[in-house]
Amino acid sequence: MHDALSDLRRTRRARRLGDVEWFDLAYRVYIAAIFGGSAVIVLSDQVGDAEATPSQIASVFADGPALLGMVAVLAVALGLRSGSDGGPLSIEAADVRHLMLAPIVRRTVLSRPLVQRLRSAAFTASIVGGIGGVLAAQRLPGSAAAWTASGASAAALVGLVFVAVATITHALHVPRVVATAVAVALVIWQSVAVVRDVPGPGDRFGHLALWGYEQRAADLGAIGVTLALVVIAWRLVGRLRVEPLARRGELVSQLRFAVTMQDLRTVVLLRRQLRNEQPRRSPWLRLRPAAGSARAAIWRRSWRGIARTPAGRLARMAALAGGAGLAAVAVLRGTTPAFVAMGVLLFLLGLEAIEPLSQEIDQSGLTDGLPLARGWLHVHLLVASAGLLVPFSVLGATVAAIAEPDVAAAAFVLAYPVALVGMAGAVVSAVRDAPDPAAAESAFMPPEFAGFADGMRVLIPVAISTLGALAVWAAREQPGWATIARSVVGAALVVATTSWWVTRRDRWRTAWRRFVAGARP
Amino acid sequence: MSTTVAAISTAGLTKDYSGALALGPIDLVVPPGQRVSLIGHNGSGKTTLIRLLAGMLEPSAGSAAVVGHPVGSIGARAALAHLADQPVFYDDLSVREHLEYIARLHGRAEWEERAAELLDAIGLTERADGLPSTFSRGLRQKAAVCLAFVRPFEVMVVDEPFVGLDRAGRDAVLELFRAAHGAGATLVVATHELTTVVESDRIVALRDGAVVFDGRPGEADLHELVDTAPRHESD
Repeated sequence: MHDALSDLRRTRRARRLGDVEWFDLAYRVYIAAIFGGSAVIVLSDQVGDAEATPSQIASVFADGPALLGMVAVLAVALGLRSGSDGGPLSIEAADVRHLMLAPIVRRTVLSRPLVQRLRSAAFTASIVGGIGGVLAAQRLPGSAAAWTASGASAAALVGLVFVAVATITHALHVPRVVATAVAVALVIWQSVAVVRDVPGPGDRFGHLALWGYEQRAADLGAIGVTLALVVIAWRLVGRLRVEPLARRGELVSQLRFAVTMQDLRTVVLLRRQLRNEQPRRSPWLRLRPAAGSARAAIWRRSWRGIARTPAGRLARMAALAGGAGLAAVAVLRGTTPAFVAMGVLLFLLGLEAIEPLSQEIDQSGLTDGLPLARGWLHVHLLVASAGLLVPFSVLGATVAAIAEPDVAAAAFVLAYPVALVGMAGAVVSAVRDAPDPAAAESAFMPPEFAGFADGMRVLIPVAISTLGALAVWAAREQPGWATIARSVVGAALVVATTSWWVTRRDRWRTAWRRFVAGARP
Repeated sequence: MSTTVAAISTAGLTKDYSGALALGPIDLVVPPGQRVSLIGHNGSGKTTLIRLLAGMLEPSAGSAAVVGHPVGSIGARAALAHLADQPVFYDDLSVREHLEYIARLHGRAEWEERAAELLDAIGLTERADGLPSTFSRGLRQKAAVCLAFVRPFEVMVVDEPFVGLDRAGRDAVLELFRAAHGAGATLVVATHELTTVVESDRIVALRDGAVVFDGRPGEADLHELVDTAPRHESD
């Protein structure tokens, strides 16, 4: 029976390799290398403008292990959550149906997907860690090669830890509530290690990331722990459950298609399904039915949707807000590229906040027949979302204020406008919807340019969200209330322009399509 | 004194989704060689029960066994064939390659003759080298039927086998059921097609996840059992 499995896998691999367009693949790698390399070089130059002072260097080696260790602890926490939700492996729906139900040892079926998952997690994480190492080398003592290697190695271990912990959690059928409790306990412990001088569970991983300058034999324990977790995961992989594998098998193929189509909303929805994330059955707040204007109805509809936001999503939004606050602190302390991370975090926070608008766009058939302009409806759906951002802005500002008490007042003034700009990028992404291959805009585009346009479709909304983060950079370069006032006005302009675009977009698009149709022979 | 092991036995088998009860508790014993029809309205729990027996779903409570083996164990997987309501295929394998794969995975080394018989019986011989993932719904169902029958089994659980089939395909599937039953296999078939259940030894009707009838054909008005609207909490 195992021969049959081997034969078929060999046949399918040969067929897949036969279908690969090698020239096309080489071209993609070439393009990715050029753009990726350029991005790293540009970012490195940005960091190089502020070399760390001796006190900053001392601070990095004193506080760095605990802070970087938090990344490892978060990987463990995410692994616990993923495993309790049925992750981290996803196999083809046909493999679930035909292999998992066949009388063969399931470890034989699942070992290969586990190895592939470990490999891809380690590789992806090592790229990120390597870039971090390159950036660190610009400001810290030690060679670029050593920093790159230590960053890549530590990150690869973190990637392995995530997959291994998730696999073990899944195989041991750890209930979600237990996994969450352990994850929270670990994060709290590591947080205490960050602010107090006590050892944290992730410190060894943090020390390993700093091997670019200082090597300690004790840090090799992190490698030992990781390898032990990987071996346990490999031993237990045959105990993964069929039901979540079947659910994930179907969702992941859709998810890959959505990613290919750069359909961000579908990706978000599918990821929620993967996590089994459902709207709350009983809302946090129940609004009574009431009469009133269309505007009031939209307001109530928005809050009704928000009131069903599951606790997990609220926690995720809090984490995004806190992360944005920390990224702002990093910018203030001289790590300029952190404003990109801040922009991305604000974009993701905005995507979560605009759920009422996204639902409306998902189910547009329900309201397309209303005697209301669609843009007007969309803008009014955002009012409650803007309200939802207030507590998260306060949270982000609080995180920044704790880390940098000198800028507390500025943080609380800037946080909300900056969060609104983050939401503006998310609004642009949601309203533009999934790419439409038949859209008139792309009708005249050559294929090379269509690829560029698709890339811009994803990047422009994130770039808009990042505009808000520039306010922190500006505050660092030119401290003072005048700069903060200018940033608030700038943020208001971005929000107003986005609202105007949402309101007018349908009209402009219709006019453009008419123009394109008229230009056709 | 010898005791016969039940082909299927469930004890308090229950499935809920986030607290919403989908099925159960179900206590069911199906002796070897019995042909059972599972009927009920939409949402009555037929598919849930079939998937629980096949090991595709995990029970929230209770247990189930196939020929004495706990559902999901290697013994149960060897004994039970599952013909699901939604056929699933590999995108890059033909019908014949699927048949080879499934048969060999289940220990049937000499699969070609059996595969040819099935393809001929169901009318897929001409399409045997086609990719089933590109087939119409009816042809996909025919291919799925071949996959279910190409492997050895003692028990077969089937969910809506006639969906998308033309009359010839439907007759061919019924003939395969008869042959398997004649050879001593146990069949549990969930269906809405009441005309096909008269050949059953036993009918089990579900409503709102509970067994509301368990007896022989002719002992109850089947249309009434199937057509009755589901009860709701507020009722």
